[in-house]
Amino acid sequence: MKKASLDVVRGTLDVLILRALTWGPQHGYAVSQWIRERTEEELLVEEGALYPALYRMESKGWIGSEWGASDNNRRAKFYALTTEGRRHLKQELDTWQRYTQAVSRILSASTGPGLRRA
Amino acid sequence: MTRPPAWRRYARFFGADVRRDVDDELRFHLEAKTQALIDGGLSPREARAEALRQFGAVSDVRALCETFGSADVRRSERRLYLTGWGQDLRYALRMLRRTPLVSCVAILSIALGVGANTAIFTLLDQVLLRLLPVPAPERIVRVQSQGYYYGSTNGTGRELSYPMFAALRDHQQVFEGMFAYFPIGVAVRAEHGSRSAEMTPAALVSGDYFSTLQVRAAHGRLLTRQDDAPGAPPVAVLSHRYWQRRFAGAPDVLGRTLLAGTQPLTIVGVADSGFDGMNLASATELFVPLALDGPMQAGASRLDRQGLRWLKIYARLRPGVTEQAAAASLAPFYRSLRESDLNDVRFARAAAATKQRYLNENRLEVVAGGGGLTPMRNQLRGPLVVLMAIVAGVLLIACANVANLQLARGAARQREVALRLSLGATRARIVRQLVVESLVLAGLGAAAGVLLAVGGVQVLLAFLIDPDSPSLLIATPNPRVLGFTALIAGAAGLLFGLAPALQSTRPALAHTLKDQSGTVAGGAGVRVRKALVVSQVALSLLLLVGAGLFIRSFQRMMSADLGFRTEQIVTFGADPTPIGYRGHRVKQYAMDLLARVRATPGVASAGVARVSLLAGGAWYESLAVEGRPIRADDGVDSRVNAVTPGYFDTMRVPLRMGRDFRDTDFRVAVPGEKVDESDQGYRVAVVSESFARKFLGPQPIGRHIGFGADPGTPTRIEVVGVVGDSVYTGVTESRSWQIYVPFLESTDDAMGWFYVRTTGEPAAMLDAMRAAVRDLDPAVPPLQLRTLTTQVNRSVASQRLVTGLCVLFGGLATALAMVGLYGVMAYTVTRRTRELGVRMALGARSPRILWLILREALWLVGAGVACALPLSLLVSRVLQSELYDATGIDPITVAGATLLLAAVAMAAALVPSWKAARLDPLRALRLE
Repeated sequence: MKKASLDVVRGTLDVLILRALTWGPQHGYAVSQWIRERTEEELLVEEGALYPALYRMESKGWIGSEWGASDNNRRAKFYALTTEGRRHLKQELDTWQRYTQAVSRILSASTGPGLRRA
Repeated sequence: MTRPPAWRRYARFFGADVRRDVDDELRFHLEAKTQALIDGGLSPREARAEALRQFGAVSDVRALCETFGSADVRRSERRLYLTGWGQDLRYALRMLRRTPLVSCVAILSIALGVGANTAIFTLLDQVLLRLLPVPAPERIVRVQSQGYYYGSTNGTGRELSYPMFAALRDHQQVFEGMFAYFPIGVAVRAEHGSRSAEMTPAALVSGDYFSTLQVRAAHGRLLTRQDDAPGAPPVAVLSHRYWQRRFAGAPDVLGRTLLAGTQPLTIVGVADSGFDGMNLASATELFVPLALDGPMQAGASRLDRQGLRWLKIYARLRPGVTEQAAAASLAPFYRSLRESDLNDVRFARAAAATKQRYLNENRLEVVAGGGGLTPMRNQLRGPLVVLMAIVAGVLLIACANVANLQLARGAARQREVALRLSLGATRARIVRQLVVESLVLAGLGAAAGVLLAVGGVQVLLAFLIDPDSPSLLIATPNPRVLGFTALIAGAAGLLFGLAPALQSTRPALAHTLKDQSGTVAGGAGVRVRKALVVSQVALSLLLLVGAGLFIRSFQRMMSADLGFRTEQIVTFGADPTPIGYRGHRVKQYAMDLLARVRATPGVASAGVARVSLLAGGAWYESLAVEGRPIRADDGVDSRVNAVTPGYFDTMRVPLRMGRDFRDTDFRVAVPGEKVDESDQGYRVAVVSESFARKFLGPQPIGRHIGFGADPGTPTRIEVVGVVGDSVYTGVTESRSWQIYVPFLESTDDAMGWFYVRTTGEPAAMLDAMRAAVRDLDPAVPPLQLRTLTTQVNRSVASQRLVTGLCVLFGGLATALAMVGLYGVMAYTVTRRTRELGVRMALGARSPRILWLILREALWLVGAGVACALPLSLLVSRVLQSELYDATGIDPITVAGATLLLAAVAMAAALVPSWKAARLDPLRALRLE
């Protein structure tokens, strides 16, 4: 049964990738599978969208790449966080926390706007 | 489990390949996904399809990734590339510092080669390549007459008369502007009564001079057509340089009056700085309207003389008009000018054939004139080209030396290179690094060379420049010269760097990494070095032959019989006309001065001549001889001079027949008296003996000649004496027909040139002569006061310079070649040490060993000489035009040069051979 999937906003994808790499260098396939599993296939329905993001972030200097051998000794490109990338991830996490806290405060509000009794 | 195919791995060798990388990455992803799906239960085909579906649009992804990837790769490659060059540079400097002696020798060799080239090119650039500092100088042209003309000239016969110029100027439509030009020297004084005059190089220019050249004024205004009209107020324009020098750049110079001779001129403006007239080698300081010709030269104006061609004509082409088109457009009108010219009085006695020749054999030429009017250009063109070839040879020899050095260095670094290659460095990279080393050497050498060149050019200019005129030539190089230097330095660096670099990085790795002690003979490296030495020897021989030819030519020139004796003669000119002497007083002045000079102690005899000898000045006439029929303007072209009695004796010109002039051959010109063209007032003449022999028969005394070359020219001048032949305008001129007339019978106010024979050292008499002139009239300075020997040397200054430089560069080249020979021979001995040790152990004695090595040197020199000998014949032929009295092949010079070279080469080779002969055989054999 096909679920309706959410479209992933570009900035968010960057954060997801950076988060995926905090445990160490990974190749692109591993990152894509991890994201799909963790979000239960809600996000990253199109796996290919990962790669332009990876290349873009490498240009920006948030991640670095290196060719290496995969588990079954295949040649694969591994990505790893740089210091700059780590810093960006922390920033984004902070922003996300504040954003989600602000949104949940609204969503869990008991009173609505304009109902203040004089 | 597929590995990328082998060919793809090699493809990556040339650098990161973004497309393939992206391909690999995406393929990995798809294959992993497919495998995972297969593991989950799908069939391979279904798994593949599902994997693709979940991936998305592969081609879009790939395109995006490739774009990002290549930008990245480019950036990092660029960075790597630049740091690579920086690395090479630092490494090169380090390597050079490690072997300071060898590096210094190399840099010195290059400095000498590049310096010599820069020096000669500096001169060549300024003398031959410079153009007038005006807008669009390539459109400035010279308009000149070519072919047969009838009349007289104050130049080369290519000038035009004023009436012709004026008619052309007013009629033409192909030029934006046209002007006439005539260089003069004026004695400038600040005001009347001031006694000190300064000889100033100036020019008579027509009204459109400045407007045609598009020169601007720095101050005041420039000359216009109105200034060049008859009766216009007399004005002048100063050059910027003159304004700074003489008037200290004072702004109130406008309106001040200068005295040029006796003519006052009002200064109306100063030309823009950087403009120094039409002569690019020597500055013009004063510009005067052509209309003032009469007053400026204290005589009759030449402006209405139809038959006198004296004006140099220049013009600026309209855009789009070529020189040929301009000449073609002017041709019909010029012909009509000549047709009306035939009515001039000078054609009165001309034969019909003469008139036809004038109409048909004369045409107008329009040639490039952007180089201005620089006489030095023609004088030095040949020598400079020869010198450029010579210094190119010197540079090649120097490069060969450095190439040898680099090869030797390369051989010594064989191990290092092999190691680097085996560790993965590309050959290209190592070659690049070695080439950078060579370029650094070349750069350092070139910098030193430029410094050498500046000094050298200063010395050269001291020889070339006439100290009496303000020279515009400088010793410091301009951007074009520096560009030339950079070019040849770069080319030299590549020349001696590339081949050794390629040579020493040849991939014979295994062989080199092992010990090299077992090798005996040399292989390709030594062959190249020997070939280089052979070519050096050959080039040196050619240069020596060239130098020898120039030396012999110069010797011949200096020992040539001039027809008169030059020792112990002081000469100077004295011209009283600038301060107002006229007519009878001019001649009286000359006679008074002559008497005064003769009375000076230390003077043996003295004479005066109208034309100064060996100074390039000349007076030519075409003569009619009594009894020799003239058909149509085929008179005898002779050189003429007017001299006083005693001149021949002073100059030791032998009197063969008849008599010298007497004081009674004297005539006072009556003002307004009409003088006939055929004798110009002269009644007697003395002729040179070749003239007499050819035209006057066995009894020349009493025969008659006349000036003019038309049928029916009266011959009224009586020949009273015959003297020996002598030269006239220059030392290299062949002694030809000369006519002498009495100075004292002349009817114009010509100045006199004095020739004084001294009893003692002529140099000691210079002050006495100056005093004698000053005592007579302090306002008249002696001109060009010097000994005749100095005058002779001056007149051959450029030949002397070229000869000197040839000797210098020939010697330099030979020295460099000998250094190269020594280097190769020393290397040979080192290489053959073991072999020599073996020979000695087997019984060979020292002389044999010496001969063994010497023989090898002999082969090299012999091969070089053999290559060069046929080329030296070519060199002789090519140089013939520059040499004096050269007759084809000169075997003495070639033999002499060969012997000299062989002797020096043997001396150079002797040292290593001697060392070889003195080898200790035990040490030689033990050498590992």
